[in-house]
Amino acid sequence: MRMLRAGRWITAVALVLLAGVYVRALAYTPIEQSQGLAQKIFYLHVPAAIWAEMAMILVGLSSVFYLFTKDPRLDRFAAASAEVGTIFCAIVLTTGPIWGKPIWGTWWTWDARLTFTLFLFLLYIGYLLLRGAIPDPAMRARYAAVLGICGMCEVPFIHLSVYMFPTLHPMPIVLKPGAPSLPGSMLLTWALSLGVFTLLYVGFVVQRYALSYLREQLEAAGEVGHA
Amino acid sequence: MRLPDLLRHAWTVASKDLLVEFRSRTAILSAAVFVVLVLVVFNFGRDPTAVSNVDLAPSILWVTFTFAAILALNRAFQLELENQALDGLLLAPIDRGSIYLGKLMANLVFVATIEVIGVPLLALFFNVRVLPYLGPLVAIIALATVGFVAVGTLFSAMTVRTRFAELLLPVLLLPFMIPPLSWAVLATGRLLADRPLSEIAGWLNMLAVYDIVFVTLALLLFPATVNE
Amino acid sequence: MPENGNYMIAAYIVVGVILIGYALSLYLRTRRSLRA
Repeated sequence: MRMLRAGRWITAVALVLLAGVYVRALAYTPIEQSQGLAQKIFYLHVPAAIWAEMAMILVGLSSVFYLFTKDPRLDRFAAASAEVGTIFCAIVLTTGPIWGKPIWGTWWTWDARLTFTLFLFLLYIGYLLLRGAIPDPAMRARYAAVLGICGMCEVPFIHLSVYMFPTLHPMPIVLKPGAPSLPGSMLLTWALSLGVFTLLYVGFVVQRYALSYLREQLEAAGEVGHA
Repeated sequence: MRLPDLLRHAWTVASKDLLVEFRSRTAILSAAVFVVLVLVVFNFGRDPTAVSNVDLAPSILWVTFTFAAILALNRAFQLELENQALDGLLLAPIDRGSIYLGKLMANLVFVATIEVIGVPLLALFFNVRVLPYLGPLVAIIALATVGFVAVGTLFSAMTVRTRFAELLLPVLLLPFMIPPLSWAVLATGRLLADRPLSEIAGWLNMLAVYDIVFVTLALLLFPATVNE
Repeated sequence: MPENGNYMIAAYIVVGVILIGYALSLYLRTRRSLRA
């Protein structure tokens, strides 16, 4: 299947380039003075966070178009983007505490960004659970679209609510990552990492889309299980 | 469909649900018992020298209200599962929006009943002054409740058709409850601690915006949950 | 400068595991569907 092969190639290339980013980040990017080596987690954490959120917005947009056009390709894409978004969310939620422990002294804080990602993760899990609970493909696509649209609309409100949290809890004594005032070499590493994560997103989504398509074919032919 | 018709039909749908509920009274009793249970447990659990009542009160209040909301929501469309009553409802010459609004109204009445019981009980058991703040308190409670019950009513229309409906609904609803809930808890806390109203106005605005956005969204999306 | 290199290593390993693990999962699942 051509699409699957393309997806696998893109993913393979992306993983190789990821190794390159690893080398560059670990060995060829300067160490940040006040945070030390742990700061380098930033190069993986932030691009993953960007795509975790982007993936949800894309789920929402394709859901809107699905409700208007009922085109199953849009539903397949939504399902794929949701699964990949969950993976990237998991990356943010694991690297976040690992970065936080040496810098802030605790594994978890109700920091705005971490909390936002937690809620985003809950949105994704709900979406995947709903999809898993409906065997009928048409109803599944419709209901998932409803939830996807609600999820996309919820994202700005979650942003609003988590940025209120700092007034309750003490702010961590750390630099805000991702500021454009990064020195050139660090900025380049970050940009390269973002590029690789973009490629990973594309490769993963294409494969997951292909998987949905293959499973639908099997279902149509009477095999067991659902996409 | 004209607005008066929409509302009138919605009220018909709502009163049907409320009639059924108040005849059996099981859900309202369980919710009321839960309110008392939470109040009692929190009372034994806290150290009066460490945490003041006023600090604890908002959290207690909102835990009980959200539980009541989930209870109401789980049952919202269950009535229609039997005897294909939902098809009957859909065949009626009313706008789909009326069905949603009717369900929403019934759920709101249910949760409001719990809230009307809960606030005085909280004031009584925890010795918290509520009367001077009654106006703004009612506003916070009303706005936040509409927020999550609106989304919950939409979701319950979907989850009722799935296998683990009662488990799935809270899981789906959780990320949608957190913003209005967090604003409500913060606002209630500030209010009961005698902070000036200007501090709370911001949260009231956000709750209002949330309500408008999600009630509209739910009205638009509800037909997709019941159309074959 | 603080001595926290271990955290960096842990994070990089975790991310690698997650990404390679997911890529593997996709590969195996699609292979199973192709075979069926």
